Amino acid sequence: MKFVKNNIVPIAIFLLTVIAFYYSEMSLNYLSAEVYTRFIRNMLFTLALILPVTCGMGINFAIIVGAISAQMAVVFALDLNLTGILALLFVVGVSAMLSVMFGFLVALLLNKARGNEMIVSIMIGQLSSVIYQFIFMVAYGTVIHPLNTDILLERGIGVRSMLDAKNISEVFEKILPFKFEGKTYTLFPVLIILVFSLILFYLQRAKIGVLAKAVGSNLSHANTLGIKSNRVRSICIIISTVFAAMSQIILIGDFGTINVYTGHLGLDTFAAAAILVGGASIKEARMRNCFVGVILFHALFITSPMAGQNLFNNPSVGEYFRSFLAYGVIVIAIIMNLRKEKMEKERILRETLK
Amino acid sequence: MKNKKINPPQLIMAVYMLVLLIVTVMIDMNLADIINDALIKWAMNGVIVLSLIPMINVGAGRNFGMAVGLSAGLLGMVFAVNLRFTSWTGFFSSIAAGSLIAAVLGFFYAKILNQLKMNEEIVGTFVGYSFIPIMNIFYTFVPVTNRQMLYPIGGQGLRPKVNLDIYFGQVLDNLWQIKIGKLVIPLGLLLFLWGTGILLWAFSKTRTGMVFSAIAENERFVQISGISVNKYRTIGIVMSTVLAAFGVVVYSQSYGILHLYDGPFMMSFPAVSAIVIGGAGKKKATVVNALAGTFLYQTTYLLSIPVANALLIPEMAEILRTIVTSGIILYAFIFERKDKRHEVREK
Repeated sequence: MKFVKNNIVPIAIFLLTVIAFYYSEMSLNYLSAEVYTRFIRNMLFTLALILPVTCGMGINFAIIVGAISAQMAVVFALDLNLTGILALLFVVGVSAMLSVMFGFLVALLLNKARGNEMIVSIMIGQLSSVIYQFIFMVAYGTVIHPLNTDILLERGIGVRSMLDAKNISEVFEKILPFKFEGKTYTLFPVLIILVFSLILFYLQRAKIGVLAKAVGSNLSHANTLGIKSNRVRSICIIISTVFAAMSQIILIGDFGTINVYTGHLGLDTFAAAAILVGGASIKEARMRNCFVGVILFHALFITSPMAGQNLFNNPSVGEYFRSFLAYGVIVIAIIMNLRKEKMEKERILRETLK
Repeated sequence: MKNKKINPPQLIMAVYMLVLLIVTVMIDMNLADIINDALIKWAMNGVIVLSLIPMINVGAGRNFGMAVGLSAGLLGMVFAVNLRFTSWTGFFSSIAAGSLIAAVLGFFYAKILNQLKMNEEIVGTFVGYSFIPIMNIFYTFVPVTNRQMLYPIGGQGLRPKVNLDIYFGQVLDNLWQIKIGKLVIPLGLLLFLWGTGILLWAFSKTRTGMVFSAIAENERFVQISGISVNKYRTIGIVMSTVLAAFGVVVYSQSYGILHLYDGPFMMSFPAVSAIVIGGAGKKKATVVNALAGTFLYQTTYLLSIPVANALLIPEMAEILRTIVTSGIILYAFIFERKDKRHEVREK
């Protein structure tokens, strides 16, 4: 019974997914293939949220910034006409560099807005997304002159909205391919996710993870103990941004094309919803929350439009339902978290009064 | 009126507007047209911005969950258009029905926010976001009999955009227009905006209004003096929600289109940004803040459209607007921290 009480959100979503799967009339093979694709595309984004949650900053919606740096790196690689493994290495290197830099700036802002990190990170995401769009839509062709003019629009200003990212996806396809239901998938992204999961596993137990936990559980205590809390928080945000950048590279490599202006949008909400569906709160998140959450959330995400079609004769109902779920689960998580905190406070008060 | 100092966002926006104005004059835009449009845009968005005031003044933060109130207003209009009410009947029955629904929704919204003091803004954002898909499901199934509002094929579900021209489009815009040469001053529309503003100002002078600002200043003190803080917060939040419903009716009649579904999705950020430009703080906002801020925000957006078109990059206007919106809100959050630290020291 205690298990059910502690994991009420994942269990409820699991039941919903089973119902949606039943009414969607999909085959299990189709569903698992779709979930596999979405799993490799979204997993690292969700893992990126763990460290900021641990150090008490809530959900870092500014992981968009990481995605942006990866997109920039891919466009640069296309601009320089790089191909093959060289392109992939270039993209990884440049995006890591950019995401460390941008992550540092994000951390600077978030440290100034203590107590409002979540909403500020939403605004940072929005602002950096439009500045990025501005650069590629207006500055490219006017201020920056690309070597490869094929990436520009016909009017000579602005990058095309869809670019072929074959140079990276070719590398992806060659490593560990396997066939399932007539389509070819690769195991390479899973390998990367595994490596990054291990890195995160190590980081959580290393010095930075312990410090982050201390800062997250009580900021003023941590400060009196002499922990440089701002520095810890900055490092967590930077790591989170780098993870997001790597995730976006996997997404582009798997997808084969890059949506220059819209490819990075919405990922933050999906990641946040996934980690919360997996049973995390805005103060505590574990890796198993991520894995469970991503699979559950995306399984529901895939089945619900079809279920809506079959139940109400209207596919958009399922779509609305899943976007309600994505946002609603965030509200519920915040409410539950604050209740828990209130109860904790009352308990401490009662104990001290005794 | 203690704080008359011009704050940085105001200064930046004023300079930005001046630059845009010079450029528009240089590219031979008709100044009279711009002024006409600016006045309409000001009043069109003004009521929505005014709706933020009660919630800020009662200390419940800026209403990022405005979509709740906006949806109520949209529902009011769906009701009026479904009964084929035209002209003033349509306008006022929309407002009446909208504010009734808004009062009910606002009450529940207040219930949620009262549990989550100090976190209203982030929770409000996501309450608003998650409320929109609920409304979308409602729009899909609502039994509407007016064929003009339904999808042409299938006959189920409202259209995303319903034309209001034959119902009550521009009814307020065209009231008491004064024409001076090429200038057209929509006096009726402006009077509606100013009237709402004056009512809000008068409200802040009543006893309830005084209690509002006392709560914003020191909630615990008010609580100790025996006043139910949650009751006043509920009043403030319901007021904001009802005013947002008013605002969206004014907005839609001016726009001429009833924009359902994802229409209210991104409306709260520009409104919050406008009131911040006007100089409102986290816990204190005046009518002048809202009106001045809306004018600056909307006019700069208006001016940036011809400039962007002249540069042959029409997408730029929207990009610049979003940069302004999120930049200003970001500024507000980061600047606020000083006030907070101050409060802690006082305790």
